[in-house]
Amino acid sequence: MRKLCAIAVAMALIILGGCSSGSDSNKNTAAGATKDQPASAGVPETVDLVSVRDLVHKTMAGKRIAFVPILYNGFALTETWGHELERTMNMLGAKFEVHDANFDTDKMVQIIDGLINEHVDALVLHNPDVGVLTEQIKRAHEKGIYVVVVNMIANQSGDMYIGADVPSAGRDIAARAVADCKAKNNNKVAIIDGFGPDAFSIGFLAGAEPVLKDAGFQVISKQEAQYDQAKANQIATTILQQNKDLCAILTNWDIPAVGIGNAIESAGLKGKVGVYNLDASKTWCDSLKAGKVTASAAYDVPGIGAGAAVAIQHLFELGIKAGTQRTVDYVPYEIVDQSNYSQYANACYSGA
Amino acid sequence: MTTSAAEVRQAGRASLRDRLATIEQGTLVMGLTVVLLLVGVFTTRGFATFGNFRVVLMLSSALGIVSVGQSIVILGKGVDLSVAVVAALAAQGSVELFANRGFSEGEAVALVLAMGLGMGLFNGWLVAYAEVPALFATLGTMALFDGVVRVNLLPTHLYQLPPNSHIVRWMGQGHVLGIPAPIVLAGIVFIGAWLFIAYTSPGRLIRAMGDNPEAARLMGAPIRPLLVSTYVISAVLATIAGLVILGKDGGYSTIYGAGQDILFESITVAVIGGVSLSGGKGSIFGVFSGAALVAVIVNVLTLNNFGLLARNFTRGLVLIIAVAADAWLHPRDEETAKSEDL
Repeated sequence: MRKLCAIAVAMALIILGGCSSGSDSNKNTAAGATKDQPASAGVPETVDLVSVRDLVHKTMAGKRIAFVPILYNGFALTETWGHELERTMNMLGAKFEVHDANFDTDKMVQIIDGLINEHVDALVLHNPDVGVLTEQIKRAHEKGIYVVVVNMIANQSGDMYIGADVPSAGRDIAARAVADCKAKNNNKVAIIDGFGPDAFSIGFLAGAEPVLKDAGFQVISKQEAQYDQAKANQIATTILQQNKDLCAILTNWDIPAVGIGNAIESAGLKGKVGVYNLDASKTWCDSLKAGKVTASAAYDVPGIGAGAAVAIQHLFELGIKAGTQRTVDYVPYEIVDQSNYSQYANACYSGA
Repeated sequence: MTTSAAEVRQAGRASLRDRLATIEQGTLVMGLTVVLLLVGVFTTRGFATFGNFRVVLMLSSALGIVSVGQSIVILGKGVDLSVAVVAALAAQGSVELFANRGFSEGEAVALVLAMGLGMGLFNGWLVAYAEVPALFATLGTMALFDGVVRVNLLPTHLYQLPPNSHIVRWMGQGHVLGIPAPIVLAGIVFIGAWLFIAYTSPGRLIRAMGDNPEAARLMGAPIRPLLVSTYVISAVLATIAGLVILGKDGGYSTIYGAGQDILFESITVAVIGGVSLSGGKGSIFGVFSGAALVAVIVNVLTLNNFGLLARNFTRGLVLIIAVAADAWLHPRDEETAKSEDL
């Protein structure tokens, strides 16, 4: 009798233990998942399209996603990303919000600190330089908040980086400039980049400078214009005065390229000095059509926004613990000029 | 009575400082600029060309215009921190009105000039009648103007000059008898301001008001209207400078905080040129000297491939040296702090 009771108790314990572990795996099946992470380990091996859709919507419903760019209102680049994210997150029932730092790095840090304290579910960050958000990304991960970094890579990795492969784009646009200048038997170029310690400037120079050096080109000037069209115009005006035989000016963004193009036109050197850059918004395309700029490594700006939206879904569906697995994911780019800019969706975006 | 060698040396040292102290700071700064020009001629390829001097004048025209306005405010014992914002809103507002809101270019320019005038009147009213200290008043209006105008008028931070622009394009790229229009406009502003401060009653009273407001008031000077007028002049000149920059560069961007430098630079130029931040002291010639010195420094550094950090460091160092030199040449005590030339 006692043996039967013992067996019954053991069976009951086994059954109860099995039920509770089964229910735990339903909530936290992903390795490293915590109680704060959603109950999902991705989709099953075989799916029914309606129920998998329900799974994704259930996973994303009510999640608070905060996008913090360095500037938003009136800035085509980040508005394009924001609109892609907003459309996707709204469609999935998540709560998407944008916090505009209006160029103020201190304000950006405060905004992010506040969002971390409010325990948002995910942050999408566009950081002004490689180090300024190091502590914020670490804190976010400690609190189980996913971090997706867009277009300006940081030294402290987020869960995912989505953006342009800036060194490769810099390498290829420099190669284009070298090819065009060699055809003119001219090896003198100048470089005008951003702030200096920002990811785009570092990546651009890492890609472009070796190409110029290997080709035996002379970089007669390298200056920072802080992504300011007026400063780029002033620097270009001064350099052109000293070096009327310059072949090309390379810059790492399209807005300074527009300023440089205007300076070249004012100096009467339109068509003689080329302008080569990264990115190709509608403003740049207008300058291209006017013959003031030459070519750009136009990367997929709308794709970055879509990519960030996919990244967020990926993270929540798999339930990966924040900060434990990190990836860097690039969007494509094309070298566009007057002959092909209308063929590529990457070029001439306007922020819609 | 015999005089020791030490006393003779001491007298010599004092007389050198006294001699220098009698020379207006603007003249000293112009002398320094000439020295720097000579250094540039002998050390920098491409510096000593007519084309380069033309570029230097053209690139510093807008700064010179803003600095004149800022200096008039400082002469009156104030400061205007909203100049950069006023310039940006004027430039971008003119494009928005002309390209997107159906106004003709003339109407757009007139409207932004009126907007600048209004901003100046508001600044002046705050300082003169509401008696808010100038530093705080214009710090507040810097953000207020930006917010109000952007919410109601400007959907973006980047504007390009429309291809069918004539007036603003001429202001930035036109010529008068072969001289670039920005240089001509800056020249008119400098000469007009010099005549105003030196030879008109309101101009002289602005200096008197800055030197000793109480004495000026007792003399019967209309202090409040004069104060308002200084801020109106500053805002209107900032508006014109914004349009010149737009015309010259072909666009106006405030992305990543672009365009804000003109505030610091306008104050730097004024102080380097001898316009005292305590008011009542300085000249328009000094402002011209300060603008010339800053422009030559930036030009020499750029031609020698010095980057942004070196340029900022040099500008800051020159400002500190100018302030320190002023303090050494014109030591302050209770008496000199209250009244100087008056």
